[in-house]
This record gives sequence, C-alpha cells and structure tokens, in this order.
Amino acid sequence: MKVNVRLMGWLREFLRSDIEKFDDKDLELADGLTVGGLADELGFRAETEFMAMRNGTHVKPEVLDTTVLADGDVVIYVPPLKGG
Amino acid sequence: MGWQRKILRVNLTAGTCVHEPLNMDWAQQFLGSRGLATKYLMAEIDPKVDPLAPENKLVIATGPLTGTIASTGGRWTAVTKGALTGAIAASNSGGQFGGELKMAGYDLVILEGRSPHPVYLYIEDDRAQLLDASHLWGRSVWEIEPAIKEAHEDPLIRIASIGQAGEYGCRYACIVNDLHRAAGRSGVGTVMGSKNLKAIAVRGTKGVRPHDPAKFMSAVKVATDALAKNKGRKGMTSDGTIAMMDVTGTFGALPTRNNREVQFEGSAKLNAKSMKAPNEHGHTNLIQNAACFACTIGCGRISHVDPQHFSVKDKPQYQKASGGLEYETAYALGSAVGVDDMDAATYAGFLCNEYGMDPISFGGTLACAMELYDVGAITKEHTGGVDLSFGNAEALCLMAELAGKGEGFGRDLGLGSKRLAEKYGRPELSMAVKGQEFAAYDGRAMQGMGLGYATSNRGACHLRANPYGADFTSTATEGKAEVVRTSQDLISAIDATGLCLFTLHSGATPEHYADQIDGACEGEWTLPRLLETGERIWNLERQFNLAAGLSSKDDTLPKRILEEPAPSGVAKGLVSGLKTMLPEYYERTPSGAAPGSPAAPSPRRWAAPTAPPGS
Repeated sequence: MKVNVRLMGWLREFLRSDIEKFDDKDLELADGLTVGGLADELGFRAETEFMAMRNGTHVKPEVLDTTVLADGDVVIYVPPLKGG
Repeated sequence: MGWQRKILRVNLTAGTCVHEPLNMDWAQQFLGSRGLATKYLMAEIDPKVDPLAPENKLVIATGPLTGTIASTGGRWTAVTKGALTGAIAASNSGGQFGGELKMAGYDLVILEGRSPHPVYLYIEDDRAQLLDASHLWGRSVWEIEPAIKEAHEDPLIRIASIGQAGEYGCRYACIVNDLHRAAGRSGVGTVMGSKNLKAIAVRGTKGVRPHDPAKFMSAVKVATDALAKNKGRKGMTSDGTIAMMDVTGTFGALPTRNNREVQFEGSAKLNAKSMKAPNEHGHTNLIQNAACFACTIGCGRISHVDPQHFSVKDKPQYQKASGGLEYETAYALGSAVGVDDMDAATYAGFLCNEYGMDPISFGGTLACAMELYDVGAITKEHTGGVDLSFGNAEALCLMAELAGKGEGFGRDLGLGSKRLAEKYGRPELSMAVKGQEFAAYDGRAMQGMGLGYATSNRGACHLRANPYGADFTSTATEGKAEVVRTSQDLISAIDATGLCLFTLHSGATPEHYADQIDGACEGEWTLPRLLETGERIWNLERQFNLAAGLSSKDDTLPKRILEEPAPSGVAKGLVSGLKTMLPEYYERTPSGAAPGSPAAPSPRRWAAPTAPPGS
C-alpha cells in the first residue's frame, strides 16, 4: 500500500540513519502496518515523543499500535518542538 | 568569579555615573541577570510607582556566564516595572551587546531618574559618561547605531537603543541591540524613553575571569558537546524557530485572526520551507542563519525582502539583509492578522526593529484592532480610511510604520490591545494576560501553555514555562500544573545565568547549567541550589507584582480561551481547563497565604540554606 508520510518540524533529524532524510514522501508499506509501527520502522519512536494524525484525525497514544494504515492514507507525525 | 563585582549607577536627573560594589550576598541568592536585577529593583523602588515616572528604575543586567565562552553566553536582561503591564518586566536579549557590557566590567547598570534632555550613555571599560543625544532623538535604531559608531570612530562599539516608538510612549516599545536583537517584551523600551535615554553604547576590553578556570572549561566542553550532538539543535540551526509553524499549524495551536481560529490556511506560506524556497521572481527570503555572542546553536535568521514586493519597491534601505522571521514574528505578523505574505511579514518585522517595537505585541494589538474593525467597533473614520480587514498585507505594513512613529491610528495601536479594546468598548477582544499579548500558542490546544500564560509574572509569555513536550503529547490538563510550576523555576534560574533558554531545547540538561555556574562562580553551585535559586527569583517577581497591586485574579485568560471551544485541530471542542489546573498549581502555597502568594516560604525550598526573598 502507498501512504503519504509527513514529518513536521525537524523530525527528519530523528529518522533511522540508513533512511534518506525527508519531510513529505509517499512510502510503499507492508499491509497491516500501524501508525505506531511505522514510527518504529522510521526509527524516531525510540528517540522522541510525537503526536500522530491519520487523515486529519488525532491518533491517541493508546491506539497508536492498533490503528492500521490503509492505502491512500495521509499520516502526519508532529514532534514536541519547544521555544520560539 | 563569574561576577565582575561592580555596578554602574547612572542618575539621569543629576547626570552622574558612579561605580558601586555588587552586593555579593544578593549575588549568592539571586545569581545574576533576571534574578539579581529584580532583587535590586525590588529593594530600590516602590512597586506601586507609575512605570513612566522618574522614580521607576531600569536595570540592565548581565549574568555570571555572560561574556564567557560558555555556549550562548551573551544574554542580557532589562528589568523594570513594565510600561505595558504595570507588572515586573524582565526582557532578555542576545546579540553582542551583553557580552561587551560584561567585558567592560559590569554586572548591572542601574538607570534612575529622568534626564532633562535626550542623552546616551557611553561606556569604555571604567569610563562612563552621559552625552548629548539631541541630534539622535527622533531617529530610528537603524540610523543611530552607525551614527554613534562613527562619532566615536569605533566600529566595535555595541549599542542598545530605542527607536521612535520608545520616544513617543508606545506601550510595547523594546530596546534593540545590534540592529535586530531586542529585549522585546513588556515595554522596557518605553521606560527607557521616559528617561530621555536614547542609547547605551559600550566598548569592553577586560574579559571575564571564571572562579575555577579548569572546572569551568571542563563543564563548558561537556555542555557544548551535548549541543553539538543534539538532533534538535541541528534542526534549530537549519530551520530556526519558524519550524514550529508546521507543528502548531497541524496540531491546531496556531493563534489565527486574534484567536478566533487555531489553524491558519496560509501557514505553509510562512514556514521554514517557504523561507528557503525561491518565489516566482527567483528571490529567496532566507540568506543564512546567524548566531549571537558565543552561541553554537545559531537559530537566528538573516533575510531580505524581494525587491519587487510592494512593501520595499523604491525603498532601497529595506532591500538589504536584516533579522528575518522567527516563529513568533511569523505568527504575530502572519497568522494573528491573517496575512500569508512572507515578504510583508518580513518587512513589518524590519520596521519593528527599526522603530523599536515588540513585534508580538504589535501583531497582537493589530489583530485585536482588525477584529474590532470586523465587528464595527472601529471604522475607516478611526483608521484614516485604511481597510483593516484580516489578511490585508498592505494594512499590516502601513500600520507597522504608523505604530512605530506614533502617527494617525498607529498612536492607538501603540496603546497595546488591552487599552485599545477598552477604548473601543470591547475589552474581551484583547488576547492578553496582565495586559501583555499572547505569544504564538493557543491555550485551548496547549493546556499547559494556557496555565503558563495565566501565571506568568510578566504577562502572557511562551518563555516562562516549558510545557511543550507535555502539551504536544496530550491535550488533557492532568499533570500540567506540576510541569508548569517546576519549569518556571528552572527557566528563572537559566535566565539568571546569562545563557540562552534555547540551550534547554537543544540538548542541555539542568546539570549542565549548574556545572558551568559552579566553575564560574564561588559558592558550591549544585543543581538543587540552582533550582532553589530559580524558585526564589520567581517568587520575588511575584512579590513585586503583589506589592504593585496585582493578585491571583490576574492569573487568568481571556474569555475566548476559557469559554469558546477550539474550532478545529486536535483540541477541537476544548476550552482551557485553567480553573481545574490553578488549584493544583497553587497547591504548594503555604496554608493561610492568599492563593498564588509566595508570602511565606515553602518548607521544601526556602527553609535552607538561604534566606527567603525580600530579606
């Protein structure tokens, strides 16, 4: 399935080192992957807190690992930037 | 030593400059900068004083780490009773000025009285004198900095000054240093203008000696290495604070059109990516990043406006490079007023620097005026025929000029949103706390930030608490009171060191601050002691406010945030849970004291080893 993945702020800095940095990219993903599972695969879940939205709806932390992605989804990950 | 152990006291009424030894007992209790300056202010003025009376004082302060090689050790603070708020004002700036003042040998400069005519303070190490500034009065920051350097034939002089806004009494005038850094908030520049003091020009050659050089160097290396490796720091360097625009825009915490909304349809035109992307003319807004004295983060942006943009066409003086949009200015001169034109916002930001206005309060006040216009309380008769509709980029640029100069409707804008909304009969449309306009976060989506705004001693502020991580993780109110209160203490301590708060967001740990202070200063500075000092500073500020006539009733938010649900975003349908959070926030207040009062010491923090505030 194809999913549009958008990384807000400088979340790209937290991507797994073997993944080329991106902010907005269509990814070909395995069926059954969850919003939390994708964060694991991209490597930033272990490094920073984040908030996720799937198709404009907030995915609460307690359902990150049960919210299954579908073909055509737009998933946005928002890190807790500070200051400004 | 860290401290230079010396104060410069300038009596503007008498025209005298006198050296005094620093009160080292107070230095051990309040550390420096924001803390030590507040201690002196509290001891020397009646908090009930009119902020613009000669009896108010303005304290320009450095911290023990200002002027050292500690990363970001260039911060200085202006402390006074705020012209915008009537509360304690502690406004912090970077650039090069603070390091220069410290190297001239001063921990504090206390400015008192009022000069009978415009003057500027000129400091060359031990030599300090007041010089006539009649020829500089009425001129902008951008005009007088080069004029003073030329007059003294020294391009390395560092200058902090006011523009026309501070001269005419714009309530949110700031003190601008190094052309585009500013002690921006609460009207500290208005107080400086009321004293007929146009500028402080300083040249310092003495250096700063740490108490234990080996320990200090070791602590600095550890802290600087942590910043170098930190991924958040790398993002701050490459994107600047404006990276926040996508975060709040997505989350639904981006104040838009005077907080009527929390997401802005034009935010993608005001973000880090668009700042770096060429426009249809091939012009790119961002030129490069910039760093303040001793900084290894470099979050600053240097920008230029497209020469073909309406705002700068035929104005070559505005086609040059200068301080570009930070997140706060992009909000205040963008989403707050519904403008999605990056060049217009950049130009309006230039004008804020040139005339010496806080862009957050200017943008917040203009947003309020635009809503007053929208509801018919303000008409074209008031605005001089200008259409003040949300989204009007030309009106934004024109009003920045008029507010900077105090001309036409700009004079009304110079009142700040609280006084403006009261004048036009709709006080509820001011999005402010204690008279100070909101920063770039909505208190419904970010519950901790709402509590932070409400309880901030200097009025609404995004730099007084650190609820970001908790807020972006959950919109619930649970646990936010503790996060806000403890981070207020930590930030008070960081602000007293002379380092930049952004180190905290770029990989520094609380231990890094304590270790660097311990190397720079005598007195066994452990982390618990540093945090205790932070709480002492916070509570002293609060004591000042209580003595000035403020109370816990001022720890509140505008009706809109308390009663109108967020219309979209993650927090759609939510209002601020301030009433739920405040009791927990006050929980540590000793029984019998008024809510929010620091009148009695809490057993955990104030019993030992230092005396309670006010002693």
